[in-house]
Amino acid sequence: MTEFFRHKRVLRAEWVVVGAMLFYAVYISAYSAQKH
Amino acid sequence: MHGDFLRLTIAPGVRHFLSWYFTPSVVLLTPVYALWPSPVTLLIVQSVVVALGAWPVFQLAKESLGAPWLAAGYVCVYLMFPALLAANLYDLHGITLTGIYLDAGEHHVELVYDPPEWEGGWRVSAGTLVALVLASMASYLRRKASRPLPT
Repeated sequence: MTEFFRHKRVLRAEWVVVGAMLFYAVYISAYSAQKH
Repeated sequence: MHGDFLRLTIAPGVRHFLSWYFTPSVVLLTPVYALWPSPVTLLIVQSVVVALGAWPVFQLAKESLGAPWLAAGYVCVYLMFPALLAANLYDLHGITLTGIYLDAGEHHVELVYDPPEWEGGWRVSAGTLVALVLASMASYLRRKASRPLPT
């Protein structure tokens, strides 16, 4: 299993950052829109 | 909008955006606002722009540290920074939108002016920026001082 992850590099930091950006944009937009 | 570009309606006694706190980043939102004329549109665009600012932060941190996961931590710090969050949640402000330009600008400057043989180029670029801001402030104050006071 460890070998699989080492070779495939399934989770890359870039994808985590993109996910965080998407989450932030959607969540804060929804929160601001609701507050308005 | 409505054939009266840069018309200002939120400040009493001021008719033109250029004669107030002019922020070009807000003017850039005009086409989006024309498509969906609602304050919610502006709040959504602001959130998206702030979120996009995380990418240059990530690139900067990754290149400086050489560790992608540590750079992702910097992204968390950027996105959860209380002042930025509060500014984003409070209302629409031109200054909130400038974060991405500063991040991306610093990243670009680092790419151009920081070749491997010249370490510390970022200090020079930051110094140049500070010098430019100080010079423009000094020139403004000098002009203001030479102008006669209104009676």
